[in-house]
Amino acid sequence: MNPDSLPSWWPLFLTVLFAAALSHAIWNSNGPRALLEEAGARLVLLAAVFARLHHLPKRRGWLLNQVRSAAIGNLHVISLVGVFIGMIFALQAGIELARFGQQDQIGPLVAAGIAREMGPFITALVLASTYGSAMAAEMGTMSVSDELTALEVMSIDRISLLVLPRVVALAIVCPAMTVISDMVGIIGGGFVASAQLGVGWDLYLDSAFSSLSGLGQTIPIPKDVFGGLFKAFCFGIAVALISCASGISARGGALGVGRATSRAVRDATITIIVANYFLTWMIYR
Amino acid sequence: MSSDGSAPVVRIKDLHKSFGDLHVLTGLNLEVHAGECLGIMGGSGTGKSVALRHVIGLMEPDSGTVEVFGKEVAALSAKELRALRRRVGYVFQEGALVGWLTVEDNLALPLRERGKLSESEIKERVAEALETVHVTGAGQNFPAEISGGMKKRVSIARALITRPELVLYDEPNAGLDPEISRSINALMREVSDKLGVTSLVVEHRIECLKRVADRVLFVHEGKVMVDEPTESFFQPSHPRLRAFLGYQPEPAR
Repeated sequence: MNPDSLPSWWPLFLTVLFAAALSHAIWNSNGPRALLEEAGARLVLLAAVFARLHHLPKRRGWLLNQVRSAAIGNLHVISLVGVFIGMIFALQAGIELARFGQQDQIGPLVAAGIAREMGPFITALVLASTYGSAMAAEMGTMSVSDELTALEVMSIDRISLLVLPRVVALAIVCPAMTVISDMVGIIGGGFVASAQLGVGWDLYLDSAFSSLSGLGQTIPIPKDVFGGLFKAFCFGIAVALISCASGISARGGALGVGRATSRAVRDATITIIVANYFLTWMIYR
Repeated sequence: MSSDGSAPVVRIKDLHKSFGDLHVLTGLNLEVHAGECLGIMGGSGTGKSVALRHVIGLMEPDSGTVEVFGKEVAALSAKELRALRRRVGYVFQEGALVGWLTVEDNLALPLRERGKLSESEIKERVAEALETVHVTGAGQNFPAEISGGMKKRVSIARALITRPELVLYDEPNAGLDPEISRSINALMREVSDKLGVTSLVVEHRIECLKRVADRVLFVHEGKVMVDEPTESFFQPSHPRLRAFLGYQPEPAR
């Protein structure tokens, strides 16, 4: 897009939008300082997790447990959501393309859209709302019932024990589930394309997968797929980190756990959406 | 200094702590000597638990000093504080057992994290700890599946399993019925006598301190008002303590 073709008021519109969002965030927190402290605490937690990556062999049992419960517990949700996203995508694109007699382009469009955007995006949102919220509630309950303090008093490294396995688990599970989401999404799009839009099943699949077959120069995976998986990797880390940080900071009994859980889902959702824009710009510009 | 000339295990000097406008500790002084079981008694909100949290380094004083094993807690580095905490056991009011671990895994956790014992030695130590607190047979249960009294016993076992030199009890009788309280008190005394650990017990139940403490302090308005051996503490002459213990109404001020 040529920036000169944008209306003259767009910078003002963006500024007002950001200001409104920021004001609302400050109003919802305990002031700008608390907001900055919270953001800072999450970055510090991320750094602390990276600094403990060498503890992973010791934590492999808990890591496997986390991977198992995140993957198995959400497989059906991600499959169901993924197939319907593919169907919706195909239907929306197909209706428009049919007006120009271009239905045979549905396959590449659905494949690229799902592999680049919808697969990682939807997978991360599902994991944030299901597994992330559970993680925040679990950590929050541990916090308000003095379990985290007990670990501290016993000189047990809470980040290594609790946060590291969760962050690494979602960094693995989110891309893995994205592959599944991509596949069922493309297949779901194929059902709609062949059943409702008159595109042959073989033609749809051939065109969809051939559009994804161009290998990247650095990594021998199609760039659309690799870009999507990289996004999922980042989203997974963000979801786990935000959920753990929100849970750890929970105070004040059941009410505090509830607040921490909703804050985790809200912040993870915003982070996924905002990060998605910047990652897309970085990978595909 | 104690009567034998050794430095106290815990020494709190002129400790002040406020939360906003609420002045909880207003010059608390106390000493706990090696092998002693010191009880701290006082009404709710008088800062007993706050004092305990200073001893383990969970809070920093506004002013005053807290020394444990001769080291000022607030001046310790993170590494030194971790080393100090390894010498201390802490029994939380609600037990604070890790909910997603079984009783056995809860007990094994601090040992596994220290990484000094083999798995068979850890199992042996866990079995021994469960026997000490009379909770054999519940090792495979999760904390949510056992009673409040058992949780408290397991919590005591967890505090003792690393063989600490000092154990801090935060209201060990809270939420327990009289019968279970008696068994917990007997257990605390047994642990104190058998293992010879120094203990600091925050409690406002008379029966508990009568049973377990060698000496009792009465904390009122953030400072120590009475410091007596257990026997004489419960035959008080101080009017405020007499009123607190229910021996006579507090005289009108």
